[in-house]
Amino acid sequence: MSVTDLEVTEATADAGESGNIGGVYTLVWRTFKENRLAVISLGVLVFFLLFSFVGPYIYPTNQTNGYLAQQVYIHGVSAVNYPWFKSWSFPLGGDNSGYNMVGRLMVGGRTALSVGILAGLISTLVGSAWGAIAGFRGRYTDSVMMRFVDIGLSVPGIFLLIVIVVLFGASSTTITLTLGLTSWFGSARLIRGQTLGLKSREFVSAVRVLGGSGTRIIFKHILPNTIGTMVVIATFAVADSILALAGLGFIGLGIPLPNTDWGSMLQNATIYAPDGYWWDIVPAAVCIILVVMSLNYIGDALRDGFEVRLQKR
Amino acid sequence: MLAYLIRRIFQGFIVLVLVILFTFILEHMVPGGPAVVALGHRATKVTIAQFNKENGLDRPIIVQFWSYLTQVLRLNLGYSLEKSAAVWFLIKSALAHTSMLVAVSIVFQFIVAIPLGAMQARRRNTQFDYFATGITFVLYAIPVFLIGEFLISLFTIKLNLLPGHVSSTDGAFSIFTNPVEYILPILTLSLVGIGGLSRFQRSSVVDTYAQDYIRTARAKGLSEKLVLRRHALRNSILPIITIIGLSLPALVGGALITESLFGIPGMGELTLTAANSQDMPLVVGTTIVATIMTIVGSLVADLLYAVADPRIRIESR
Repeated sequence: MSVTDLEVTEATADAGESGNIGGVYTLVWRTFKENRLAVISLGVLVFFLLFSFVGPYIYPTNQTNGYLAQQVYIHGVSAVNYPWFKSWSFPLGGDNSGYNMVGRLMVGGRTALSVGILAGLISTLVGSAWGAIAGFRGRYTDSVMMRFVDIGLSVPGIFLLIVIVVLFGASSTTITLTLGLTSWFGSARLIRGQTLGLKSREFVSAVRVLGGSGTRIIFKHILPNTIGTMVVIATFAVADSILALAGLGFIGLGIPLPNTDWGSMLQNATIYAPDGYWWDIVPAAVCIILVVMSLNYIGDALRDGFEVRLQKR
Repeated sequence: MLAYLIRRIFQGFIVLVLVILFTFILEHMVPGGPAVVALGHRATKVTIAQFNKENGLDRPIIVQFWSYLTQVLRLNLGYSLEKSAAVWFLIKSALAHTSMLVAVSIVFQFIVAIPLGAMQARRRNTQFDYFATGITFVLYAIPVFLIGEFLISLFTIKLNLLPGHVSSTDGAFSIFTNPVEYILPILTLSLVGIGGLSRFQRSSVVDTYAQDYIRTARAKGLSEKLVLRRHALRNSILPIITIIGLSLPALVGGALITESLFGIPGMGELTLTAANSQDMPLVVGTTIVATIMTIVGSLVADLLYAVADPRIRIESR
């Protein structure tokens, strides 16, 4: 431990009193690297990103027509609905519509990850801006804005999602926007808290004295100083969005066919699970759990990393 | 205490009015407005105009909102398009089911998560702690419905031990008269929450252990058991009450999925059937009532907190 402690002190010394950005990230990365689980999680996440977005180019599958019409038989058993590896043409078997399971996972992953990441980003950005403005303006602006957050926090999000999906129809865009715009309330609270602490600091007064506007202070000085919290919030927000999308898919309000997402795949699989095709559940379930767990681990490790930065400063 | 209570109720009321405003705006944001929602996209201009006139939708928007608000606050939530019954009539029985499910689940989460977290904190960084942390971390990453599906396929289909479906004729209190049917639903709804709560309880107890009064308790020669029970546990439970209040919306959302899995005739089941048949008044009605439920729930949690913490009780007098 003493060695790492030394390294950390050195890094701080290198970064100097002003703490240049590069130094800070090196420090965070150093703490992050020590957490073996977090590094593995990062690997898992990168794997799934490559799998979903690059995978279809390396391993193209037919996702337009299912194979039910032209049943593929391997050793006299239908390859479709086959639980484990039988041939390279169906490494994980097929789902009950005859789609190649691996290819289907790629399509589902593309939707799940892009919706999750975009919704997480929207949620983090809106929440942070809202919290920073409320915290910085203070007084009535603050109380009005934060009451709005209270409302957001007391509406069960899934009901709101259902209302919007029913009103405006289910599509990747509506779902992404709704997920993002209904989940930022918690992050607004966190960032507001940090802003309250930051706005009394000297560098903020310095900008004021130099004639910087409030907007400039919020977006150029306060928000960049909350970057650690924002990154951590974003990580968890992406994980939550992926889970929420899966939930929507499960209740049948997910991404409409012919597209799919991991949640809709699970819903599809669970219909046939009682008939003995339980293994159809496994692939999509494993994907969701692995991705969400990795994101949670990464978030935890990043939080530790940024906390160390704060402690050593 | 009374002043505090009145202030909190007033705040809850404001939140409620704003939520009603929000659903009102949403309904009017749909191209064509509520008429198109009710009549469908193929409605002609004439029928839309007639519908608007009959339902007062040609009046100024403020007047419309005022009548909408006063109607909703009187629990007159309109008529279901599909089920030809008053929305509140449909929700009334469903609400009892969902509240029961959520309440029992909260109690269950408390019973499991508090001792589990405390035990982890006491044996911090042991095999047991790592094992429990691992399990709670996995639980935290699993979607609710997947836990339900897993429990059903294990206990109902494989082992044939527990029923995987709740009888539709059940009353709201059958959770007590026929508890076996509800074992799997309660587990489904609670496991994710237990994951989060026990992690929180662990760190809460760890924090409490670092306090001076714990050192005092140890110094005066109390056994480790008594230190945990009388001093650490009591103080660590306070934040948990707040967390329960905050996690209520998620819990009500989880109840929605649990209900649809096990066929419990609650709010979630009602909302989903309404959503699938585009029954807008019913969907909006359940959303508003679910919000009232969480507002009342967090109010109760806040009051419990005040009761449990003598410092707040005395300060607010």
